[in-house]
Amino acid sequence: MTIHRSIRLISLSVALVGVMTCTSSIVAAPNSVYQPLGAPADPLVAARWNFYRDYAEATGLLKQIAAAHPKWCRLESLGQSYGGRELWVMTITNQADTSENEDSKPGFWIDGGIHANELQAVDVVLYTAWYLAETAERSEFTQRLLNERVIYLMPMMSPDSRDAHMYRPNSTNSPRGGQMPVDDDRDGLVDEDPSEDLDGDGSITQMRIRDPNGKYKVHPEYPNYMVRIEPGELASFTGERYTLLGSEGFDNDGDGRVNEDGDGYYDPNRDWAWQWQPGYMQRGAYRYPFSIKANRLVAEFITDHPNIAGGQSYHNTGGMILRGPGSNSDSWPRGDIAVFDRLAKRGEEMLPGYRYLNTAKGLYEVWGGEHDWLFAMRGIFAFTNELNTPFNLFRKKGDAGSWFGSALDRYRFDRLLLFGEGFVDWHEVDHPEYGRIEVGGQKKNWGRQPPSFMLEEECHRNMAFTLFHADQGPLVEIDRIEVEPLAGGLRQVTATLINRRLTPTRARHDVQNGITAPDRVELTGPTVVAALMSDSVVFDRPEEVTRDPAAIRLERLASQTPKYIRWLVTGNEQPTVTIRSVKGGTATKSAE
Amino acid sequence: MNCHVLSCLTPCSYRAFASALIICCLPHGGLDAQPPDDYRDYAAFRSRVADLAASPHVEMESLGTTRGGRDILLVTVSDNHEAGAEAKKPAILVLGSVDAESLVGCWLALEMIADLAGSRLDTGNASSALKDVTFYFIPRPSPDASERAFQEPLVSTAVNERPTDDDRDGQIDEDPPEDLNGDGMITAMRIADPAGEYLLHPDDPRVLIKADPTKGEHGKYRLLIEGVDNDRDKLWNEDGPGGVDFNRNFTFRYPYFEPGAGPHQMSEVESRVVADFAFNHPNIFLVFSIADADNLNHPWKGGAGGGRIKRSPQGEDAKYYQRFAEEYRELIDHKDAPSVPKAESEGAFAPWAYYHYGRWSLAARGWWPEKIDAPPSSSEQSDSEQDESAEAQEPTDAAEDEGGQPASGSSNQPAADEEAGGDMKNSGGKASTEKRGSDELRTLRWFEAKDIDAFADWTRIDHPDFPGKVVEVGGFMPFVRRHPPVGELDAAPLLELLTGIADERAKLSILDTVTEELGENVVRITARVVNRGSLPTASKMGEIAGKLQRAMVQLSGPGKMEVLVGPRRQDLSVLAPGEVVEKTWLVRLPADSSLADLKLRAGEPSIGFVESSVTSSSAGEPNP
Repeated sequence: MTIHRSIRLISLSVALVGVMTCTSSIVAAPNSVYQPLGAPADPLVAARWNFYRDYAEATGLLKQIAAAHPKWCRLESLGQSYGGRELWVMTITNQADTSENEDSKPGFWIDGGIHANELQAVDVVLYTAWYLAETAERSEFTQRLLNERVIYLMPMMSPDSRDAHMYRPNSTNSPRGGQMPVDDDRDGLVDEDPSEDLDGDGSITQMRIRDPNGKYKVHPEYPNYMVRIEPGELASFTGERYTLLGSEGFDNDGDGRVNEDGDGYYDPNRDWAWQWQPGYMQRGAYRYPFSIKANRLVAEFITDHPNIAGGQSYHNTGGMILRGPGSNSDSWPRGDIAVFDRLAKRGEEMLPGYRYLNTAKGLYEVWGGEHDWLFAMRGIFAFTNELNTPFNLFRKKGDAGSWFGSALDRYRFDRLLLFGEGFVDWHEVDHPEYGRIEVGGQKKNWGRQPPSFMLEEECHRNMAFTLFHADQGPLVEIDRIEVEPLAGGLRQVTATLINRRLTPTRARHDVQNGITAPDRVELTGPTVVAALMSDSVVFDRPEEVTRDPAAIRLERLASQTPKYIRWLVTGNEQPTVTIRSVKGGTATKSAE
Repeated sequence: MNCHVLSCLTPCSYRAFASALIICCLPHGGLDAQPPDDYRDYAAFRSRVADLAASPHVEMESLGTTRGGRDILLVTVSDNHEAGAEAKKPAILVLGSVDAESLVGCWLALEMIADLAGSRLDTGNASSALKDVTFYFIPRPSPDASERAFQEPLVSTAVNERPTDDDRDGQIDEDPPEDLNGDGMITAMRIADPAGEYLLHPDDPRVLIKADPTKGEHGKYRLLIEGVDNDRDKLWNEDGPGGVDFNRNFTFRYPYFEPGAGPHQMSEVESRVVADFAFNHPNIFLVFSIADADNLNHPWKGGAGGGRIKRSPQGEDAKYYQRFAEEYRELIDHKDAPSVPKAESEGAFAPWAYYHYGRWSLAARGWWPEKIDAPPSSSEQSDSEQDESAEAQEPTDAAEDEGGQPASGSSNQPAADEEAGGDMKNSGGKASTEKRGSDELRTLRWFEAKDIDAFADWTRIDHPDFPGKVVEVGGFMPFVRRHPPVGELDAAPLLELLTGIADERAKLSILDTVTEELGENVVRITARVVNRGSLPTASKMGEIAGKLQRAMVQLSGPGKMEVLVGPRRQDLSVLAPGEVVEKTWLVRLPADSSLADLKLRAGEPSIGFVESSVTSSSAGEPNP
């Protein structure tokens, strides 16, 4: 397809949806660079996608992107985290529209890193922001998407703990919560018994002690790997034996427990209002929904943008595309689940090794999770991707249901592709209570995060699924308007409305609970005498609309399901029909 | 209340309207709304709190500021405020106007403060229980909503000033009620309509009751809130100004998407600051609220306890709730408080305090009309009296007559004509066995006995939405119905109850310690801790909810003391009244120290802490 022709096509599609401004066009790449497919080789903002940015680096990148692409990007902060870091949201759309128009475009929400130890979740969102900005004037697809829609990206939902993970002793599993001090063990002391990095290497690894009666031995092939001595083998085993002592640390507060009250504890992804339950039901729930400040600011932003129709959160690990509901006692309308299914089935193709699952049935029950709130209280079709599938280790199906793949695969991958960098070799340290022991094991940057050379692919494939979802968000169109004169000075104006995307303008659950306002269809020009509505092309079984006949309320426009509106009018003015959908955008068309 | 009756038409934020099912058969001149001075508008409330805070035992602070710019005031009453002493004692948290449309709760809370501080602590007349317990009061947790009682037109509503789309049609506050008859109040309106759902009460035609078609009854009236259908959606006054109801915004059984509940749990500054205050004060062991969600007149019943989400008192807790209720009933004069509709617990504060905050939570109505035997009321002497039919039941108290048959059959049906007066069937003080509307009847009788105008007479109006129909406006006056003259209120029994519970609270005591010196400075220490109170150290739900600090017993000693068997800080299990637990440590003391350097400290903030030194005793001596 020639560049010239793509421009025409874009203009046409924009005109169809009534977006007034479209001054952009596709810019051909200079011949001096051989462009790979995927990300451009000569971006305005140079960026590598094979390492993890801390808060300051991510902030710098976002500012650079916003400065280099003012026509497409706007960076704002929702406020500050508990630790005083900015909570960045980047809005990407054709910024030539006024902000009023911006809010009338269908919106899409993308966030990452609510669990800060799930590191690459942030980088996928950063990559998406960068890719959209850099390709807005190069890719026909991106440009159409950004003319039609507005994308809100929040790369770091928990920036304090991201830096804590990177710069304080932690494991790949910590910290999951935020940095607000909390008395995890309810003993009146706050964060008084954290893990200790006994060897000062920045990773919280494991402790073991040589013990002639211990029940563990080293794996014959992988000496960092501790395996249980089989009961039948215990009597005859003559090699070195060990007892495992848990993760690095000691009992700081004299209560007999080790490392029971470090930073965090509360889980920011058990803090959302739908089906929220307190801690006795849902471990990690804090005081009440949005009792974590960063979440409250996010919830306010999303509530203030009811145009958001789709959403995506990134987590790790295991390779999953998750949808709600999070509890087995909850159920959502079957028609809505069918929408999730259609979107995610495509995602499974785009993300080899990923499985599409319902959270409660396929993973575990989550009360008060974010994607449940997005859908059930804001009417947003939202997924959570658990990044990092064990499939990627050797491009073969891992153990079914395994998050990390088999231990042997991890040690084998470490030896063959990481040259042994994934694990700390066991070595001796002095423990204040246990005396001379050994520490060693998996480093904090191995387990949940892909190594450098796998990160960019993870970013791109997940982005591609998310942009597919965004592109399949609702978009209203006025297919045609027909005017027919009737006897006695009456005219009949019939408009055919359609949404050609996979997502309806309002979920059934939204309609049932009145989460967002109905779509409105206005007729201007002639005087309306009566308004009728039908689901049928031959206008079968019409229904009269008596409330506000010139601006009727339409429950929703489902996917590929036209609605027919017929007005009986007087007067010779040219009829113009406008449909305004909170989540499906605006379209307007005048009769010929 | 008959909330369910109008729930399809009426936002529950206006639920007080729904019980205004009163008409008068002899319309006369309109009544102007009375400014309820005694109950104190916000300015008067603030100044009263400031007066009370002049006592050295009372401190006042603001927990936060509402959308309307009003402070949510906290009043702390403690024998001693020095160096945070109040936070070091077990505490009771009292909430006044939990139902923001009723200022009775606030009034009673202020009386309790005055009595506690002025009559007792200031005069040195307080029991040790009062000295040993801190009282926190939040008299008016939702001051913006409560202030609506002082704004015209007078309307009974519990919602704050957040603009909300109550009917979820995409427009905000677009269909408020209107004062159609200009009496300064929003009451009810009834429209004569053969398809209506309501009938007149056989005993008192001012009361409307819902017809029961399965018993052959046919309604004669529609009943709506006073006003017009501003947005032409065939719903009347379904989206008025505001707002969110403090008492529907908590996390327990939260009523998602319902009017008054807000965008989500704890969405409002009012509920959030109260919850945060509670969570930040681990010393609170009991929460008392003055609320319609009344579990002292109607104690919560223990359930099977099954199910992961707890919705009934756990374990032995129901027995304690029963006991609190018995103690309460001994203190009050009349015991016929209205029942609690189930919806009252949805998102409500009082059940939250037990199920999610994990404290004992008690609630009582501040006031309700005492049952009065009905004299012939003026309205019953209408010009349409008819003879009692021969089949009529003996006069009975409708509310107490459980086995009574509801009035039914054609002889008790209102006349078909649309004049209210034509519907009179009973008169002369004789009552049918009709149970519907008994709360309204009782309320009417009480106010009549006190010679107080509590309802606006029914007045005919021309209503633009109902051309050609008979439309009348009238009903209970929104403020008066829930606000008797303050002389009728009595805070003393409530304070008496709390004083009693303060005395019953769990009290730890270290009974004795035994030390056994095993040689080479190795010492075994055994301590026995007892709960000397009449309440357990935590309720079962408190244990489950996990929002109380764990009670621990801690051994402290010289820095170089080695704890051989411990640990140094040990958990105390939950102790029932009278229960004793024994804890042991084996330590090795540094050479230069003695047993006198050892100390034990037991407790947690909501039961307080006790300390004991470790006394020496001979090795091997049996425990006393």
